[in-house]
Amino acid sequence: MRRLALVLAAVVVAAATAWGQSSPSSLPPGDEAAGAAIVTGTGKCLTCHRILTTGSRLGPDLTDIGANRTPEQLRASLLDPDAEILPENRFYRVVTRDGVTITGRLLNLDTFQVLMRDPKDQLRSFVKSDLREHGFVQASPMPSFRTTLSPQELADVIAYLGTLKGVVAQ
Amino acid sequence: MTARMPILGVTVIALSQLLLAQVSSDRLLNAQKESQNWLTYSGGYMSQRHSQLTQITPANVKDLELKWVFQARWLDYNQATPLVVDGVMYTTQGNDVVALDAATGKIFWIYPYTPSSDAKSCCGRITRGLAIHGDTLFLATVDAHLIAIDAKTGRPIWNRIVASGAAGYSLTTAPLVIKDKVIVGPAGGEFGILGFIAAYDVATGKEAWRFNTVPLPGEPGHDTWGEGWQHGGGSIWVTGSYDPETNLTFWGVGNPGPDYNAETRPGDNLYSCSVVALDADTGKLKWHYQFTPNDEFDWDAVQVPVLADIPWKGQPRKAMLWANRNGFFYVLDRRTGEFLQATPIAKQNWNAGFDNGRPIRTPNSLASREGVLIYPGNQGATNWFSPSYSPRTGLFYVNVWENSHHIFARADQEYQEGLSYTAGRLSTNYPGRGIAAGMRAIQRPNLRKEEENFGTVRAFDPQTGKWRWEYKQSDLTDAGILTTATDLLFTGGREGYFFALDARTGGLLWRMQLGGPTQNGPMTYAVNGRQYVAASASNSLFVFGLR
Repeated sequence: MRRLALVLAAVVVAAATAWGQSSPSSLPPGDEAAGAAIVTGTGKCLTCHRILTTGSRLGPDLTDIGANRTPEQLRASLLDPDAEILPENRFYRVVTRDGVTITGRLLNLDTFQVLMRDPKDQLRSFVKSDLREHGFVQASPMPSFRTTLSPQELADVIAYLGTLKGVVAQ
Repeated sequence: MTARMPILGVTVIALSQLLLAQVSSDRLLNAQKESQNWLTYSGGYMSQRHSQLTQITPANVKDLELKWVFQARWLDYNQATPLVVDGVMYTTQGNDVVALDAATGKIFWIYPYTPSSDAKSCCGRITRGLAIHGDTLFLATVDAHLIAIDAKTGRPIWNRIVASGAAGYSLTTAPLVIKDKVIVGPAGGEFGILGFIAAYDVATGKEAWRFNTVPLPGEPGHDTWGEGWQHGGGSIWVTGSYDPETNLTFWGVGNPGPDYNAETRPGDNLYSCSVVALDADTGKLKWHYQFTPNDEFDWDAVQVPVLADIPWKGQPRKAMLWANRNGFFYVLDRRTGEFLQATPIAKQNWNAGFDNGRPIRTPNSLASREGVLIYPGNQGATNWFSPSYSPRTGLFYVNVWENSHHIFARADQEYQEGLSYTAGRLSTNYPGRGIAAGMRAIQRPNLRKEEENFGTVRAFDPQTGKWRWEYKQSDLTDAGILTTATDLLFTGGREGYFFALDARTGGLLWRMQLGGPTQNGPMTYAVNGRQYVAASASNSLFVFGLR
């Protein structure tokens, strides 16, 4: 029993150390307004993302990102976008028989069909047997902000994203 | 800071600038010309539920086969007419919204919505469909919210609380978009609500105007209620129509409350059981016509206002065609509300004629505490299910409940918020309870004799008010009707058959047993040059095409 307790304690310590290394708690306090300015302005996040009716539908919608993702998860996504891509955010690439390549957000996949939203925002379905090739896009189209955001800017962005709780009935 | 721009994102910006709004106001105005699509609840502002598609004909309709089924994760009936926009179908699953590949039925996305558990609904926690404008869908929910949803992603944009679900207000109608406004009104006529029709800004959800179907103190018509106005009903639960020439939107208004006892509400009870013509920009009343003044039989005028340009006594006429729950088929002038004609659509014993459009009651048709036998019954000679008008045949098609009756008896009841408020009792002369014409299509063997009520498709000539042909069913029907430019008529009923008739003769051309009642309005569309026909049965949606 004593040995088990030691092992558990070691695991807890190791996890806490790892958490500390990637936790936003290691960042300075974030400024929500400054973060909003980055997300909606200089950071050009809405080139791919959307908040309510502003921005692109290509990447994950940020309208309620603060209700669904923790600050730690947001930081991980900003610094290492390829580390975890949620299934609903996967991209898929198809090449039609006449050689047209279309890459879009995967919406549904079965034995015979691929459904996606293409870069023109069109809901498209493809019959697999009509395609020259098709498959998942492994890397996220989102760049890492590890070298392009300062620790303060990163904290600001995370603080702002945390305020986005979705549409409230009124 | 120097954020690296994602290359794919740059491409998206450039491409997105080329895109036009998905469904513009102009497209909605001309919806009937986009025969491959179905852009409003009734297929267009005229609400004729008539399609110009011609691939499926009387000659080949026998070759229809099932193409796909959408089995909803939902146990109640599917009463929604889907929308189809450029190959994408938008429909509902309960109060969820679903985007489907219209050719295969595969799901693009689902917007899940769980109404508040304290929401009240007399007749099922259903919705009858959606509206679209630009890239935004509009969902009216059973807990009385109006929600704007991104048609590309299924994500909510705004969520407006229209009224209190706990107090008995619910939204079951498919909204109607006119220009930059989305229009709805609440159901709840059995809960003593105060009805209204309201328009909301499509972009923000902000209320733009409101018309009270039960006029408040100081408003015209308030003096037709006595003290009963406070719980007067006047619900809205079927989508209206729109005439761009006059900028009028037309809506049918439900029964006054309490349903079966008018002792507390002496007078005509405007605008219950009426059609109201409202300015689409302001909500101001232009005209109204009341089908059933001081109703005590639950005869909501919640039918789809069908607009048609018809010959009338040798002259073209901008008409409104209306088969009412009270058992009459009306022809009105839609510019002025002028009463032109009304003729029975089924057996009735309450009306002895019309005096300048006002119904003359028969001597023994007044409700009492002892009870009075009235034809048609409380569910009416027809109800909310959509009729159709074919400009080709000039006929108005409607599903009718023939030989239905109830014995209506007044009773006392105090109003309590959120509780059913009907103040009466219903009974029948039928042996047993299984024969009565009830709102709910309960799946059980049908044992009715013809004199104990039945469903029938009737094709009315608006110029005479008489029906040219009928197609009888043994059981009742809650199905809408679709007609096409090849003179086909599609409908169904509680027997589970979905079928096609010759719209000129009523002859049966094709049928398919779907295993449950069709309760939505059938519709048709095309994808990649192939025509499809869609109809619900129980909770599922069935889509057919030619072999």
